[in-house]
Amino acid sequence: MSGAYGWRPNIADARDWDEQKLGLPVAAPGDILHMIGLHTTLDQNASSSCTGHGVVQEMCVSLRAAYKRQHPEVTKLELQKLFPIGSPLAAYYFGRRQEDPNAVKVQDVGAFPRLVKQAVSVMHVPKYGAWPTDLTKVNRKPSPTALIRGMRAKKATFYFFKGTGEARLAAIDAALAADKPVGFGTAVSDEMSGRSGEFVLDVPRGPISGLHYMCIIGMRVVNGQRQYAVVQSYGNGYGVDGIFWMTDNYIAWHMTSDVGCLSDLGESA
Amino acid sequence: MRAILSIVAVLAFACVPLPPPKPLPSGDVYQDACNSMARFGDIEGAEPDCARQLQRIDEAGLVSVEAPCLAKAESKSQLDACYSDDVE
Repeated sequence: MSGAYGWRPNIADARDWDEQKLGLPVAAPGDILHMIGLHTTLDQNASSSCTGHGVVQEMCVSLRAAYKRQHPEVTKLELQKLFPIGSPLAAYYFGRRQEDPNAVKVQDVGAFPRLVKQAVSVMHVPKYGAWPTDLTKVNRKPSPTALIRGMRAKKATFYFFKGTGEARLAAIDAALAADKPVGFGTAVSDEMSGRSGEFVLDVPRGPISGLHYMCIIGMRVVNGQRQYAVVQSYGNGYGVDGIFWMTDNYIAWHMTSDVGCLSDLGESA
Repeated sequence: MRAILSIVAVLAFACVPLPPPKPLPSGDVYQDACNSMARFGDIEGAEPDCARQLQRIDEAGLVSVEAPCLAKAESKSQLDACYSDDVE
């Protein structure tokens, strides 16, 4: 189980698509739990690849949820075979290349979500098996085989939520209801480290220990307050099968940003 | 004066031309690269669209597949060495 981070907050860019430009709905009633259990949580180990992990979760859970909606009888095992998780290492590498294509070397210093998503929309993502997590390869270009398999994989576009506070939460709820997991970055403290079993994490009280990118896959209402089911990159041993809960205050917090979805997942050309 | 010098410095920096992009290899090189991959046990190298996919990756411009290096590889270790960022 890892305590590594790696989120680098996006630099503002007015060209981003957002829920307002796209005219997306922003309201959804009650609990939204249909994507719980559709994830595959890998461990970033000591790397700073959380953004790569979060983005491949967004892609994988979305594809599995959309298929399950059409085929309710499908099992998780079947979904894992039909829509295997992408390689976080490849997504992380592509994102850093996107930041500086002329860099002689890439470094394991975290990644910007926009750049990872831009790169993924061009290069797509090979399956995990084509470029599995290996700390000795964190800064290495995926093999031609992995690159080719990526080009044959699903493609994606992306947008970020512009709204803050309640508007952000309503937009997240609408995305979850539409089979779209929601990626986000936030500041975390040591309160987050080494947790197992079910727990609900609120805005940090202690000192900030890092910036981390994660993925929301569900929402429930408890005593009138929303709680969000979150998966991240510390493996299945974290929380309950890789899932823990965060308060709506945490998701709406000013240190939480780069909230957004992948969209238009389709076949490669 | 300092402001003018700053502007001149910025303009001078901005006017430094970027290096031209590396020209892409010909289609034959991609096919030779696939042949090398297939010869040293990479099943993707034997796929009929291998050369097209390698070319698409290069055209995307984010990473190079190092097709000339792959095409010239005489062993598995030489092939693997082409994957490294060191060759860029």
